[in-house]
Amino acid sequence: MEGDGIVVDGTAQIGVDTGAFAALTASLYGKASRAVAAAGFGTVGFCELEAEHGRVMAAGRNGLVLVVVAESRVNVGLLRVDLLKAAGAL
Amino acid sequence: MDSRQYAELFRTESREQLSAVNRALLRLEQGDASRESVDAVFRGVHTIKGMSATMGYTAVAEFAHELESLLDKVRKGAQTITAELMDALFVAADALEHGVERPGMEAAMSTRMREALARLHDVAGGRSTAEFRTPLLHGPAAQDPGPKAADAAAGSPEAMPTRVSTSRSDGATELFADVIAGTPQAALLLDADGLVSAGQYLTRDGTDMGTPLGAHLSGVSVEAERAMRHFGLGRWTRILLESDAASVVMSPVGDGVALVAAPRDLPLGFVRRTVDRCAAIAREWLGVA
Repeated sequence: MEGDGIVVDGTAQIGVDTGAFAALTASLYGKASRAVAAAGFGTVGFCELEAEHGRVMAAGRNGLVLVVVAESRVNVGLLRVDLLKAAGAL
Repeated sequence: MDSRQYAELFRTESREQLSAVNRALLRLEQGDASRESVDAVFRGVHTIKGMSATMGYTAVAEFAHELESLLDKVRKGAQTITAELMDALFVAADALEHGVERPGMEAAMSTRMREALARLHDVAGGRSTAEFRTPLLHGPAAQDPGPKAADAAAGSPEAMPTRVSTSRSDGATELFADVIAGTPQAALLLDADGLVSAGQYLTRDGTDMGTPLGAHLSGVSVEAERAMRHFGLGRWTRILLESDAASVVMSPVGDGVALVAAPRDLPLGFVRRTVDRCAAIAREWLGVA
């Protein structure tokens, strides 16, 4: 999706509102990016949100953000590496 | 493998890196200003920086970081290689070698390191270019412990400091001291308004990073709460942000947030464990589940 939450492409289960999902994730990623930059830590390239029943990972580049929603039990390290690799190609 | 074996492994690998650094410096001194030689020096220093940070040898890591920053200017062509700079780099390499032979957890650089950095800055100009402003772990009055203390600390866990010494002793600022001691990490407990309740993040130049960090990052947890509610994933349990310079990990504590900031060199799993430990301490301190 674009940094402002417009879906560019996506795959989701039936019933998942990708528009709302993109909007919320873009808002979260944007907030995190602004906060980290304001704190003097540079540009955010990766963001992970862990929750009781799953996790959301996002990697951004060139104004685009790649987002993955996964179960809690997923191999985090592998998913992170793959996501960063894919984001590098954006 | 125990801590003495890790320390020995660190020294062995650092010596190899320093040999490569010195060989490349010699090539540069002999007029080989090729990119490969500069890169070789940079790589060696960068590797030592990473290993030192992982081991918790803060002073060595900081010194290597300063050296690396200057070398990066050379790589980018912003700094010309002169005879004076070469002399200063050899002195810095000696100081680095001295540091890796006597590493300790103390944050204060040795006299030799400080003098080497001063000489580099005299030649190349500028001050610290650290992107991640390393937290001050031993208070503004920390002194160079000298070679004797450094020798005692090397490979001797008993001799290593186990608490952060700060100018305040009300308990709040030192809440996470045992967890982050000896590592270039900063830990904070933020309340629901983003104000610092415990912990501190003072940089070496005395800048308070805790207050602005809290103000900026507390809003992220509010956003996370909103998103998780909508996604039906339950309560958020951890937020991890990776930037150019730092890793920031947050964990909920009551209405507030425990936060740990660390340089990117530190393994992510290590930083995550740190924030979990800090959150557990904060919950106990606040008396919340």
